[in-house]
Amino acid sequence: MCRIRLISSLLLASLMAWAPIVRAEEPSKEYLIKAAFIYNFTQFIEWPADSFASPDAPFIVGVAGIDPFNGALDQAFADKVVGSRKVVVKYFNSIAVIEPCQVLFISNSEERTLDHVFRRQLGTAATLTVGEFNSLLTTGGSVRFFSEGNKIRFEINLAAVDRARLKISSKLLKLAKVVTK
Amino acid sequence: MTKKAILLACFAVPILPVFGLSSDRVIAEPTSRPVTTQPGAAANETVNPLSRKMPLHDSSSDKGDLTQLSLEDLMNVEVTSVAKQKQRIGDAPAAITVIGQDDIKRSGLASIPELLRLAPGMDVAQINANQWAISTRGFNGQIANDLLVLVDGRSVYSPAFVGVLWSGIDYPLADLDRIEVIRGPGATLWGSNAVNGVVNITTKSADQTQGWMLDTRAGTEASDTSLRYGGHLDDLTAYRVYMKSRYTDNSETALGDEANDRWSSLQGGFRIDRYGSPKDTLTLQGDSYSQEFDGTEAHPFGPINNVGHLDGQNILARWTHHEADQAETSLQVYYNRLKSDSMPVGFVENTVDVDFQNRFTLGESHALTWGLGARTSWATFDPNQTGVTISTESQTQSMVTGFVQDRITLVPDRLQWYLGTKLEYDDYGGFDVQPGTRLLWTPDHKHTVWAAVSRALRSPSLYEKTDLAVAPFGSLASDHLDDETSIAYEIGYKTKLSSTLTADVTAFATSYRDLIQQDVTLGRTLNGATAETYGAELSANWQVSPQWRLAGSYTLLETFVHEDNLGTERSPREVHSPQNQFQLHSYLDITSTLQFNTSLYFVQGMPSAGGGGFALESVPAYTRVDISVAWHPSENITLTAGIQNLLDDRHPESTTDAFLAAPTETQRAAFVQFNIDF
Repeated sequence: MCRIRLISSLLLASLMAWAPIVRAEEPSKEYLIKAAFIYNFTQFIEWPADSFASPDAPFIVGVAGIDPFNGALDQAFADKVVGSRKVVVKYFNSIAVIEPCQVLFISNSEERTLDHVFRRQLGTAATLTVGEFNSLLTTGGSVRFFSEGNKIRFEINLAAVDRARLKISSKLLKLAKVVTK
Repeated sequence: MTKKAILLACFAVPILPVFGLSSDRVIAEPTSRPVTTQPGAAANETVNPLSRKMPLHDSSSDKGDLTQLSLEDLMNVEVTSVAKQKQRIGDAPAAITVIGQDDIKRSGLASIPELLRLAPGMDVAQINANQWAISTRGFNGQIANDLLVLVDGRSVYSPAFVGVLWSGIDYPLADLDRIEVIRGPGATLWGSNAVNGVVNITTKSADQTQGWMLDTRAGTEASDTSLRYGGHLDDLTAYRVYMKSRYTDNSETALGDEANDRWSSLQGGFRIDRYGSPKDTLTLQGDSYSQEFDGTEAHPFGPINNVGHLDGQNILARWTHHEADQAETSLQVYYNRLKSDSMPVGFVENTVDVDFQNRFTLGESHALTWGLGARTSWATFDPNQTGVTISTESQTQSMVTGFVQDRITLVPDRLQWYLGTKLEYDDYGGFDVQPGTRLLWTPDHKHTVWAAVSRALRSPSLYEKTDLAVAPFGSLASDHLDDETSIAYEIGYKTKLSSTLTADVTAFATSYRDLIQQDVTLGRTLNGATAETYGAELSANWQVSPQWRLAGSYTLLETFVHEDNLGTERSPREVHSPQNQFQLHSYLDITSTLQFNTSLYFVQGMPSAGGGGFALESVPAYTRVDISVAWHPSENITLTAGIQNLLDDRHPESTTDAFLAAPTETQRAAFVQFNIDF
């Protein structure tokens, strides 16, 4: 009996060894796609010159809250430029501690504190705020990802984009679901 | 000409539309897997190696490259399709090529059959202005019946006709999502007639074709115009409607005289996609077309000129429930109708098909896909040429099918084993099994090795099953025919030599038994011939610089056919496909808005065969060069101009089949094209 248990636990252990290794660090396909979308957004949107600290300041992409990308954003922007600016991806533990950036991905973990922060910090900053939770656009966010069938779609809140003084190409608008809130 | 040869010729095709339409045919096979473009289903996985879409070569399958995709393409990437993450270029254990929208635009080619020239290993020969002989891995001809062709999951193989009427799939090219070409058998998933290959043509979903699109092309040989509008019925429901018209002028004969093969077509259709929930998609689509052809039949008593018509209608509904990467269910129903009044035998054919499919995982290492289907086709024939009679003027063919495939992960990320079979029962041939197995080894991210053994069948066509008489030449009585069977052995290697260079090699050997033969000496249609083919296909893609890409391929094919009662003559089947083909494409971005594209095709000549007065004439080798320039003055406008067959005034690509369309020559052609989205 004992031996059987030993053998079966050995078996189990060896099976587990074969099981696919959990790849916590690997970005999921979903976020690879979303990162590629965000990269594309930067190519179809114009930021006002005064949103950069200096002419050679980098273009900053921020992630606020729990990072779902697992490196996908870094991959997407590796060796890329926006305009002629180098791109830096920064991670902020919470939306309360963000620094100025051109694109800010607001993680679902920040949904509850968002309203407040928008009013205080993001207000009219020239920042493209991107996220995926339901209330994002009604609280003042600019672009929200959603799924349609098995594909990723995005909606744009024109009022928020205007407030941020961003110019969006018609091509991007054409592909988006446009809302005004 | 010998009597035998004449008879042979006569029967070769009695039912094919001789003239106008006959063209190539394809294969349709019974149960097609819904190739839906849709949701991930198939796509996803390599599970069906062949099945649906595998993100093959496009960069979307390489996760690092997603940012290279346009927004439109990104919107089209299925979250799950590559979900298992391992789906890289090489991950399909089959010889697959995907012709995407960028390839379509850059090719300057104007129709779906012409676009198949781009796929390595395909043999595309234009017979005349409105017909093509298209096959892969041998046995090409106007009746190429070993290739299965599907449009959005609907088989466009006509059982009455033994093949595909290529002219009848004339969609606006800008609304195509992709053309997936699988060389080698796909019968384990798709069933009968997917013997030598499967072509999956997928249109974009309605939400990807929003707004107006006008595409108009004017050329020295052919002109066409497409107009499409897409909108939303409500937040969850997108639709599009389109019209396309085409006119193709007469081509020229070998002597430079005007041939009699002009073609005009009008097609319209719609597609509605409803995303009822994040997991459910409902698609309803349909098309209707009407075409008129001038034609010349190669009749033993001399060419016969005629005018023929082809009308087609279809409607398809599909529901897909996508639960997770490996869990999906779909149900599809369609109705298809074809009507042809071509000589010598006109026909009306109706098909109803139902197809169910489900996928799920079992533990860590099994990914199962299974499905059930039923199809019934009924056709009436109308011999409309003096002297031609057939024994049955109407026929019904019904079948039920099932398939199951398991993808077994032997070593995670490294070694996968696919095991599956198709089961079919039809009211003529009884019960059949088409099993296949594939092994996929990916030692690392740069190399993929695969091997496969598959059995595939071709069902006798409706016309092969009838008794035929063509006065005064003779008659053929049909035996009770068995399916033609084949066993294919394939091995392939795909590699990413560097970040800019990929290569793909496949070698195959296939043996065929019980090939259906119309033996005029015996006066019978019977399972009399056997054959073997061997070959290899090599293709490579090189991104020389960010602005310049080269793509090339080489195809080798050896065919040996053993047929009784041919005397010393070679079987026409043996010489109908070129032994060597080579192509090279250059895609150059001169500036960000200006592209210059060049394609070169070399196709080896084919010897004569068949003997007697009705010998198949030989076809000389030809080299074809196409060039085109595309200019995008703004994001939504493209202007293209090009010349095809730059090197010669005209050349033949195909030879004569008796009673089929008399081949003409492919001419040099110039065109200008204007495309706008608004």
